[in-house]
Amino acid sequence: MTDDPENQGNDEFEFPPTLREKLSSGHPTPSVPAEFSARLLASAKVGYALRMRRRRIVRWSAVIGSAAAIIILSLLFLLPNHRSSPHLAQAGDVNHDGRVDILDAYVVAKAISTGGKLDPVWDVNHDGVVDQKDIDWIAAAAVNVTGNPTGALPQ
Amino acid sequence: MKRMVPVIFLMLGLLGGSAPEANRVDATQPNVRFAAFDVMIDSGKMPLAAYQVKIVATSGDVALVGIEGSDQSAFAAAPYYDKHAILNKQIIVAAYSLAGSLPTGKTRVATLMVRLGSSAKPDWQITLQVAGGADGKPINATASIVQHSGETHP
Repeated sequence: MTDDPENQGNDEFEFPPTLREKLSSGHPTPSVPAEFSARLLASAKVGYALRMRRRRIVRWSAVIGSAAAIIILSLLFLLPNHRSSPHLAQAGDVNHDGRVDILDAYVVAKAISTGGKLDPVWDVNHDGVVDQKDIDWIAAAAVNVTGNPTGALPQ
Repeated sequence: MKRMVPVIFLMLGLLGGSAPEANRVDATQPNVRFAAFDVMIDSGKMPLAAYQVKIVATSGDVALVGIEGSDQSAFAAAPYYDKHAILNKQIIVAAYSLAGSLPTGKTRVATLMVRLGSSAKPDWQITLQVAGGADGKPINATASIVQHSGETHP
């Protein structure tokens, strides 16, 4: 730090012009051959194109992957859940036709009335016995339209 | 204070009893009338042991208010239906019979009691979901709804 106000702002040192010329002549600017320059440029172009191609592939992969994920998720939510429906259809689907209807109740009712063999899986209310309550349970499931299967059970 | 307890319960009971019900039928409205429609199943020559139909009121101010069995002995008992669907416009009705003598041909299997809110004629769509014979196997049949005037709605 100096206290002389005249020297403030003159921190840059400059070589004299003659010295600069001499130093420049001793270290001339290297010249690059045009052929080498062209090869370098071509190589850079190829590398750039390759990088752009890879970037495009990554971008399209992300787009296609996202679209596939959206389609798969939509299908999972919109289509009926086939994984759980067989389990639900099993309860009451006595004749194994894939749905619960009045014929299932009829098969159980007829088996009970004629003293036929009763399959333990017909005990749909899980009270340990196949009886009229199971028939009513199956029939109630068959006619259910409000989502509340107790609506068709006898009072 | 003990004397007041029965009075309080009585008042609460009266208040509860007078509360409006969502499904109550207001028969005092003008133009409200009631009609009966018969559910018919025609199983041809095959004995009918069980049936299941879906009934939808497609137009008209219609509400189901009750369902009864038929005068045919095999299906005299009230059929199965979703009681929560009463007053709705669609319902599934089903019944089976263990009677020794099962009906053949066109049989009245149930009667719908209907509230009609206007003079407009109700339109029905009835779909036979399944009909079964005595062996519990599905049989070919047709379903229709017949008003007491004799009008048929297939």
